[in-house]
Amino acid sequence: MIPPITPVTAVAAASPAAAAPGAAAASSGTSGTSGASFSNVLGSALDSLNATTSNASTLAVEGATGQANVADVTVASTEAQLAVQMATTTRDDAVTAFNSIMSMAAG
Amino acid sequence: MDGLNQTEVLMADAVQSINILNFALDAIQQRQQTIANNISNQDTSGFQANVVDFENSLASAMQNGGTASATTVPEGLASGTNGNNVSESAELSLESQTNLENQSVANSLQSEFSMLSTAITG
Amino acid sequence: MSMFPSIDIAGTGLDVDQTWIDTISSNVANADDAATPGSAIYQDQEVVATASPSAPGNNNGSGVQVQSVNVSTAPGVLVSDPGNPLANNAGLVEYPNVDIGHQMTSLVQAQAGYEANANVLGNSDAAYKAILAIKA
Repeated sequence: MIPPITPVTAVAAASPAAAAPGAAAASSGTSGTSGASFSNVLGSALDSLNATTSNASTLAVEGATGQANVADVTVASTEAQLAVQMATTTRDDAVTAFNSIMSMAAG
Repeated sequence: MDGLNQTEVLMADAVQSINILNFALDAIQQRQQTIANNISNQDTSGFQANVVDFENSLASAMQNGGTASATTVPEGLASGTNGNNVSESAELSLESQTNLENQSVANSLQSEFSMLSTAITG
Repeated sequence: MSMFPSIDIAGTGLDVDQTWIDTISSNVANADDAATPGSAIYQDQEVVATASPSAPGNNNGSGVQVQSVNVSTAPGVLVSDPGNPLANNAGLVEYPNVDIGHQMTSLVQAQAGYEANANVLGNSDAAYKAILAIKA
């Protein structure tokens, strides 16, 4: 038996793109982009990884019910994949750096 | 350290481009939907065709900052005897154009993502 | 509307054009059905289409739908044909009031419409696929 599906809360309206002047924000009805949180991830603020992947999941569900448009869904899901890649690479680098330091502690 | 800064600049540029392209791609879908609607109603009595504008708004936002938006407005062509003003030939031509724009923007988005992926995974 | 509204809309166009073509076919097929004057006669049918209503927030349309199929109430056409077994005492036979010329013009329009909607359907499908092909 399929468990009941919890209601999806609306995604917040699009946030403006990263810092540079003249940036254009998407104005696309009920769906939104994760521009600000995605750029934060690339700036290594790993807290935003959660926001990026969560946004992608929400949009995917909304897309399936016809509430989000395919462009936003596709872009959000691709951003989430890159965010995860980034986090993984950062983590791998951190682990490598940690191991290097530990191996230097030789008597 | 210099190499790291260059990467960060590249990423920031890519993110901004992605947001702009995302907006454009969404606006192009709205344009396609309006064209499909016009064509499906080309024989409906009293029906008035619409068009979607977004290029000027986007150019202005990119130059002066602020939010860009896509708006749907009446096309304003003259109507025939049954009050319908859809021109099938004009709509089909616009549809072809829009499909090419769609492919072009999709390609650009893919480029941005591929670039980011390469920058991230090294 | 789904995530692929252009396809939904083209679909509604195809449906209405198909209904239109079917109605025209019926009119043409029955146009020569003679009857004794005063008895039931085939009546011309006409499809009336209207733009489909859109949900709030959708400014780009939802396609088209059949509003009604209007059945004519016009009297039939009386033709002198004394040899016809259906003829009345005055030698008259009644034919349906179907304007074949109008049916042919409508058929051309309906077929052009069907083709245009099919064109939109195919192109929209390709366009959406171009978006879905985007990956990291």
